[in-house]
Amino acid sequence: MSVLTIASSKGGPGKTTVAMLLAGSLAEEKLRVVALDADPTQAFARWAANTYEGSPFESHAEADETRLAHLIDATASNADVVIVDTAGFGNRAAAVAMTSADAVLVPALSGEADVTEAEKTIRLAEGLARAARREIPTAILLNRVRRTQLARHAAHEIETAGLPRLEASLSDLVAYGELSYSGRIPTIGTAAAEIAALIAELRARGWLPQVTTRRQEPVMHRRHEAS
Amino acid sequence: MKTLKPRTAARPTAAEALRIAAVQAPSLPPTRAVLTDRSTTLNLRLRMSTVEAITAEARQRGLTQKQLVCQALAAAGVAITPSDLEDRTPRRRG
Repeated sequence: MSVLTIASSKGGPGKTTVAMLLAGSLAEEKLRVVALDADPTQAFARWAANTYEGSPFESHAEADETRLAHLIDATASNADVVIVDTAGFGNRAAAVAMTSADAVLVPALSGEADVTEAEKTIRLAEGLARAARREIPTAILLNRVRRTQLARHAAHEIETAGLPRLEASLSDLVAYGELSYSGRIPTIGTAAAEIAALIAELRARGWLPQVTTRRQEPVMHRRHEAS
Repeated sequence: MKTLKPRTAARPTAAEALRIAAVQAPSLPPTRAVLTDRSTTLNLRLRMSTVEAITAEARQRGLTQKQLVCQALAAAGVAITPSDLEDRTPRRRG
C-alpha cells in the first residue's frame, strides 16, 4: 500500500488533474486505487463519480481533517495506492494528508508564485516528516510546461533552492484539459507518453506499487459527502 | 544519557497525524467543507435507442426524462432526494 498526497499551497497548478491522471491510469493497470478528495470543491470526487469512464476505483470526498485522517487509515490497508488530492491553500486537511503520506507530489507551473508556494509546501512537508520521525519524500512536478525560457528558468530556480524535482513533467496539452469533461485518460500521443513517464519515475522512486497481473474486483464508485 | 526515539517508516495513526499537524502547523485554517446538497450533473453515455425509449416513455407518462429515471431508481431502492423526483421545468406564466 502507498499513500501519495498531491499538495500545493497555491491554487491552480494542476493538483486535481494530476490526481485524475494517476488514479485513472493506475486503475487501468488493475491496481486497487482509492481516491480521497480533501478539497472542498470536490472536483476530483465529482469527476470520479459522474464523468470518469475508465477502470473503476473507489473515491471519497472528505475535507474535514479528523475524518480524513481516519479515512486514510481505513483505506490504506486495503488499497494498493491511495491518492489524496488537497485544496489549493494552506489548510489542516492538507497538513494531515502530508503527515500520513508515504510521498508528497507538488505540482507547480513555471511562474514565480508557483515556485515560491511549492517551496513552502515542501518545507511544510519536511517539518511534518521531522515531527513524525519518518521519511516523507517530496518532489515538484512541473506542469503545463512549454519549451520556453520561462520553463527553463523555473527549473533553474527550483534547483537553486535545492528543491527535489521530478525529471518527468506535463506539457501544456489540450488533452489534459479535456479530461475533466470527457472522463477519459489519454491513451495515445504526447499526453499518454508523459503520463507513462511520470508513473515510471514515481515507481522507480518507490512511490507507487509495481504492476501485478491479478484482476481487481470491481468496486462501485462511492462518494462520501463532507458534513 | 538521553534516549532518542528511532526513526520509523511506519505511517502514523490518525490520532498521531492529527497531533503532529496541529503542533507543526498550528496556524493553518480548517478546510471549509461544503455543507449544502448542491445540484450537479450526471452524464450518461447511452445508445440512441435507449435514449429514444426513455424519451417515449417519459412523454407517455407525462414526466420529464429525469423524473422517469429518478423514479425508477427510487423504486429500485436508491436513495433519491425527493426534489429530484419533481418536475422543475421552467414554465411561462399566464
